[in-house]
Amino acid sequence: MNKNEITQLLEKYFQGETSLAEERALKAYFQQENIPESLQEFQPLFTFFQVEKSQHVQKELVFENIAGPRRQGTLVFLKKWIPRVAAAVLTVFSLWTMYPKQLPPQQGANVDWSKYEPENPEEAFRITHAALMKTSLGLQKGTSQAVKEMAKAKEVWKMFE
Amino acid sequence: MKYFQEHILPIQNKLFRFALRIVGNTEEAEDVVQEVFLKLWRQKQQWPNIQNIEAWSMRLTKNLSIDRLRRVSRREESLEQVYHSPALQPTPAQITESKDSLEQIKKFMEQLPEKQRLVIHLRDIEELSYKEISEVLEMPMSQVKTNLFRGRNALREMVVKSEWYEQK
Repeated sequence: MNKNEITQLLEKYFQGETSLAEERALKAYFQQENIPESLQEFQPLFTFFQVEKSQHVQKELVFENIAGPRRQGTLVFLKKWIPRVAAAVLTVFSLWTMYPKQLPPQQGANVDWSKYEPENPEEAFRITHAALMKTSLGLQKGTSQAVKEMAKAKEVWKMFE
Repeated sequence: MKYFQEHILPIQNKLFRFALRIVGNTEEAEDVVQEVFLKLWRQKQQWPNIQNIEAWSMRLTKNLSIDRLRRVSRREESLEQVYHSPALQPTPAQITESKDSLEQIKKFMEQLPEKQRLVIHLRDIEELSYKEISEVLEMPMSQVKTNLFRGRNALREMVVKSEWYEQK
């Protein structure tokens, strides 16, 4: 483009009537070294636009901070669920070890239980009474054992006080 | 995440420059971009409904930058001072002292009213169409053109004036 064309284009630019392509042409023109003296005063203006466009974000934290909460979310999820799963596994394992194993089915035990059936109400009462007495004694023994254990625990607790 | 990487992340410098034009401080502009990204990320459900994500992001940048300016209310005061203080109009001595002509243009830009400054930034630096500028700045296209005309002519006047002082 010659000087006259640029002068006209420049005028059009200041009237706000140029297209983006014409504006790019002006920027390209003013990047040259040999610009007529009468147009040189506008060179810094168009150079400024070019230089400004090269500015960029200096920090690299923008994307990391976006991705950050996502990773944290996964971590929070794991922190929340790992103890729960571990507790469930521990409970199942404890129950499995504490409870007696199921006995294998008895084989060949041909007992005639009809011989042991009580034959009258008095006998039935006596057997039931004896069974309940045995259970009651067992419970009493359990209570006294619990009292003993509590006393031991108190002794231990005193050591920490 | 893929959409974010392909459509939003590449415009981070454009958003930064726009924020910088408004807040006038690199760190604050970067904070604005950060905030814009976080907001956009939280609005990811809306992405498919947004026709022009770039214009949307630019508009968000403008709003957050202006909010930041209002919160700090620093730059508005200083701009007011710059614009009205006769001491900051280019004097022959200042112009002679100012060897960096680009720095001088930057100062001229800062002296423009906000609307003119932002329209010139979006058109002459970011090369946006009038329609896009209208969307970003939420102003009718006629106002975009008026602000561009006035802004460019104000710059021209300042440039010619400074040249005249230099020749003297």
